[in-house]
Amino acid sequence: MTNAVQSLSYLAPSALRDGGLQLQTAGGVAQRAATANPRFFTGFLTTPAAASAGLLAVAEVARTRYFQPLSPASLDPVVTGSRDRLRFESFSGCCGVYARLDVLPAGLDGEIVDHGTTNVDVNTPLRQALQRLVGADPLHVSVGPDDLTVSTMDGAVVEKKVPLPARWLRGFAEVQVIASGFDPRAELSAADATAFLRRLPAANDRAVLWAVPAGRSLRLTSRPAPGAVCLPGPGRLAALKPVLRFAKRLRVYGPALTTASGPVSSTWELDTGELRLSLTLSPQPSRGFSGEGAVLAALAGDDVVDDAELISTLLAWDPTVDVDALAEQAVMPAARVRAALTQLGTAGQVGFDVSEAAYFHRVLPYDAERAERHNPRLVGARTLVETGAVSLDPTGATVRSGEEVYRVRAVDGGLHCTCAWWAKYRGGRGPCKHALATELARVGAVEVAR
Amino acid sequence: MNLFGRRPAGPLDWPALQDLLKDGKFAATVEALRDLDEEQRAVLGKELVALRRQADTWFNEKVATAYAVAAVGCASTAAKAVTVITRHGWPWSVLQSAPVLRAAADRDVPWLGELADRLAERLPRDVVFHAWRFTADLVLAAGVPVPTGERFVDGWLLSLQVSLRETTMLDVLRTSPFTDLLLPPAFERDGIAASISVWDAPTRTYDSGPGILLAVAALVGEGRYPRDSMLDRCLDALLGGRPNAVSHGFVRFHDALAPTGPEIAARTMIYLKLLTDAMGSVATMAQKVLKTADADGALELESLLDASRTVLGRSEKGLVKAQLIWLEKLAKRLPARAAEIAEVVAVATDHPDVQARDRAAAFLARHGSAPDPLGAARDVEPDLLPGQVAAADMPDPIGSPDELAEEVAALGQAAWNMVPVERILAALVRLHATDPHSLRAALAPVMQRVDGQLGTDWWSSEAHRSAAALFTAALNKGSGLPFTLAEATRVLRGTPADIRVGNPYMKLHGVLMTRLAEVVVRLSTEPVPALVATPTQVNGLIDPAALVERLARAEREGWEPWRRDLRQALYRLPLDVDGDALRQARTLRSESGRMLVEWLEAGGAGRPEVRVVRVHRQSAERGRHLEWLPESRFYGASAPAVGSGLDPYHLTDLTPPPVVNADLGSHGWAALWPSVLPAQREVVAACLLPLIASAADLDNARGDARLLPLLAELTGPAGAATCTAVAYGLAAAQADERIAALDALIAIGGLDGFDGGELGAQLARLAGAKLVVLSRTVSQLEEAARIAPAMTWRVAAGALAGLLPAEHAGRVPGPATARSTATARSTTAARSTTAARSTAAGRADTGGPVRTTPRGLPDLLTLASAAAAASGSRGEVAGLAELAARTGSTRLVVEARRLHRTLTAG
Repeated sequence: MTNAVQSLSYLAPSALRDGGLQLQTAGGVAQRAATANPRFFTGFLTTPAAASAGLLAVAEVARTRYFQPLSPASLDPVVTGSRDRLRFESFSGCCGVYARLDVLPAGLDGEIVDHGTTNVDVNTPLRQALQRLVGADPLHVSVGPDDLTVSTMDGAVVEKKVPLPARWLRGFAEVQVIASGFDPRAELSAADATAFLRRLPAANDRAVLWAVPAGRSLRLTSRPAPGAVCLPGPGRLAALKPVLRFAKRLRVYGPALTTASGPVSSTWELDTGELRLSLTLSPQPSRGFSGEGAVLAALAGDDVVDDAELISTLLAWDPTVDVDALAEQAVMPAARVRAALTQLGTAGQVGFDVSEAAYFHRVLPYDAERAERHNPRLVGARTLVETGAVSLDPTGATVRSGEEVYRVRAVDGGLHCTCAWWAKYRGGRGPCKHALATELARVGAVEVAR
Repeated sequence: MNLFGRRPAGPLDWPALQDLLKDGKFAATVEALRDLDEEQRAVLGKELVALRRQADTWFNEKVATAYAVAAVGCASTAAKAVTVITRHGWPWSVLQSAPVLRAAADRDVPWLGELADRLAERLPRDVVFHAWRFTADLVLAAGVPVPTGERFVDGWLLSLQVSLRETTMLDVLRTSPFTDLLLPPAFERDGIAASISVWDAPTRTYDSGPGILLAVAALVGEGRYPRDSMLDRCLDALLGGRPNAVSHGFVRFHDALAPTGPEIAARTMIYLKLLTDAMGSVATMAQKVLKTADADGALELESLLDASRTVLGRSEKGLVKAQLIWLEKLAKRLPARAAEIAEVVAVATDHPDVQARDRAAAFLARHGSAPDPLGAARDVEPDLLPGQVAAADMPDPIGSPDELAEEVAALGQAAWNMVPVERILAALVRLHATDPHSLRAALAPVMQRVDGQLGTDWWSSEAHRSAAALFTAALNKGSGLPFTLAEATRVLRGTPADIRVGNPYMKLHGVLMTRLAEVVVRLSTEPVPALVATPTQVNGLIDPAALVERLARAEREGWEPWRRDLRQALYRLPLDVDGDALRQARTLRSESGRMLVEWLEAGGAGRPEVRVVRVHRQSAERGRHLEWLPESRFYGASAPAVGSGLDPYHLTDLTPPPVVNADLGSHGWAALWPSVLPAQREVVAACLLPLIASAADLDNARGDARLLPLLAELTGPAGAATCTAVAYGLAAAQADERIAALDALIAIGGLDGFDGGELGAQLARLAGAKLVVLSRTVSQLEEAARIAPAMTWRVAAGALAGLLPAEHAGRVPGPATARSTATARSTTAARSTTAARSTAAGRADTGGPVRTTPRGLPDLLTLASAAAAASGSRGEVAGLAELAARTGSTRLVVEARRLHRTLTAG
């Protein structure tokens, strides 16, 4: 698939002036007004210094490549206006770090005028102005063009053209699904968090570390263990630093581990009371979320897609999605709602908030679903099936790929393989293409039997 | 072409142009194109654009230039010209611009500017100078607006450095036609702060610094650029959290600009932000600047105090100290505001750095609001150590041939360890006896893919390669593939001790290899339905009841277990076996059963005596380079248990080498050694010691301290050898290995019979002889103190008892032999250090050169105070009182006094 290019036209550059912070928007969707430049909020930020540090952190992640640092990509963050809060999201150029700043109701004093998701312009003068921002007085902020900007539109539009690599899109969407499997693992006070982050080894940013709760803080350990969290590439937490001094707590989230676990992703969240800044790290600095294959693990049947379509019409920009209420509305079991939400997550239709342990409605202003359909592993699997490389048998399948022969076998509902890729990740990155091909061939066989 | 190689007269046709291009005759191409009309050019252009790139072709300067000439001369649009130019060399080849511009002038190309813009957009990310220069020449020739994209700017910054041999940066900047336009966007790029080395003839040295920025500062001095905007740009860059090296460059730029009092006064808020938020060296710079502003009365006290609250919470000790001193002076100057200032200083009373805490406390005491004295009212924190934890059970055996194939495929992907190897061996032997056809069908495709070096790397030593080769041979045999038998037969003839003469620490490896060789040889000749030595626990132990059951099964089914497999099984039994298992074993009738009973009755391999001895490096001779080896090293020595115990392989008999010899190569299979003798932690520690020591005492860290957690999981006492291994590990060069050593310390720290003083004494011995870096271990002990202050205190006290007396005697602690019988030592009482003192006092002091204090000793004292306070420990440490009684205020003495106070308080 060729890489798409995103063209955005902002009515004016975002700026921090005497009148306050004006964030300009472009693209995306809004609930009430169908416009190219949606307007979500006007009012005050109650903690401007912390909010601007958080906003800068999100913008910083968007421009950084943590793995093989080349010149920064410059994709704008995405802002979502929920019913009671604003969420700023970004995704690093290397597809390995996802950042989100949630401005909670306590952090906002004003009116949310519309709901939806859009891109927000962050430019160099704005960054510099935010860096210089001091003082604790509430700061006026508008997300979206104000009437003045619209009325005095004199053609000074800011056009941005940025490439949207398919893997970037896929990773941005898939990180939500991966985070939905996280549980809280540790909570540190600001002082302990500062001390812990300072103790992290500075060199060797590509290392994968593990941390276990010990006393009031976390202790680094050399091996995974139950209750531990993985800290892959500790240097990637750098974006938290400027916000650290405003934070009251650091919370860490991750999946359940055993002593045999491989590297996994984790979420590190600073909470100031009014804001939450979280960074989600991919399992290894060299691994982008795009290749994690979270959606491939449950190869979507048509019924799930139908469910997802129904559920998507019921979402209404709630700050958190209530699965039970949705199940009642849609008249379907909660498990099916959850499967549908997973599907919507990979399509960029919902995000996941680990601190609320719930999905939230957010429509990425990109065509993420298209990217998922062109997942290279899925494409490879289809090719294998089409060339008749898969021969099914009762315990699994034998897949012939060129000279090589691979055995795929069914284990506890999953499929294991003898290929090198599976050997490396053992299910940690979803099924391999041979397992996918077997799955596809099985579905095909069932349909033929009908 | 005619016979004489000349072109026939007449207009240039495509084949002729192609010849010119291939030969790189760019000047001739310019000539040939000059007189063509647009129609003729269009014909050639069409062919040129359609020409595909030849795969793997490198275009030299002439050829690439010729194609660019043709592109400008024939292409109909700028886009098509770009296609041709990028297809034939640009950006990687050098292109000459003069002929290209000549051809463009001849044709009067209207889109030359567009061509330049398009090329500027396509400059590579890591910009190539020649590509930028060609593009820049086009920009200048076309007279179009200068591109300001980041890659063009990066190229310009690079070009500034190219001609420095002949001229100075200042002149380059003065003459560059781009300076005015590209300087502003260049402040956004890291390249502007690039460190440039310039040969300084008068001093005959290379001068390095942010050359471009320093030259810009000089231009500002000449009045070419306004000071205000340059200073603002500089501060913006410093606020921007750029990489450290870039920030350092901008700090130099800032110093070169030398802002004046009024300039600083107008920007105090920005400097305050730098002080609170920027990286250490930038904050230090801001602190200095603000102090001068404060002296001039240009700083508001409220803003300063507000910022100070944040600064005093920062981790940089120097910055915090300077800030405290500043606040102290401020309080003297403004006595009326002292209370307000004291309120801010109070923030530092729980700073992680003890000196900052002291200073803050002293300030508060002077200003009447003394906090509770240090640590006086603190609760005693209990140790949170896991104690003796039973090792996890082995995962279920591999069921099917397909599962075995998957496990074999996964072998090379994870760190080498015992669990998969043993599971694979067990399944291989079982399936080969019960279902050889399915085994072959499943395993053969996988074995054809994996190479023969399982668990080794190209730098692995011979012994590790041999183990891998044997393992591969066994798997190949099970797959029905060709395999080598000779090596296995050879190994099987010898005993484990023969595997590698001269290094006794390879004995455990020998056991592994003989067992692997046995599998290779016996798999077909004497197939058995099961191995008996497969561990039941992940540390390698076998539950005695399980072994009895395995042997009973063999009796029932009428087969005899393989001999070396049985030996290994016996070595894997725990030392203390309950009577039940022995009674069950006595019901066995076979030869194997008899051996098991004999083993159990003898108490296994018994309780050998393990010591640690210091061995020196061989003196250099005949030009051999030995300096890379440590001056000396501690090795384990083991003597078999006297009067009891069976040890057919003599694994508990270890003699250290006469001189230090470093075992080179990777240690993939060493991760399996602990599982060979899981009930004898001390013997295994002695065998692993050289590998773990290499991680700490060799410059390039060839060892592997990550083996330590495996050692911690074993059973048996943790004595001198284990303590020495952990001590080396805590001082490992690599951070992740030190973390592994800390894991091991926490695992063994709570065991009955673990003596923290012993570990401390070993640490002192290593650090006192400068064999390891003490400060590395201190940072790990600090971490340990957070979890287990009492245990850490005992370790620290043991180390201090070994190091402090030398501070008075002025001598190096001499070579020492610490004895620890493998029978458990009695634990020292939590609040006493008698054991630590007796260890130190019992050491032979043979003297040595006048010593210097090991780096990190003051930190060790600080840590000891904290651990003693947290655990409520009291007592004495040899040499401490004398040190504390010394005059002076060096850190060593200050910290000694603090510890002395803590230990004698209340």
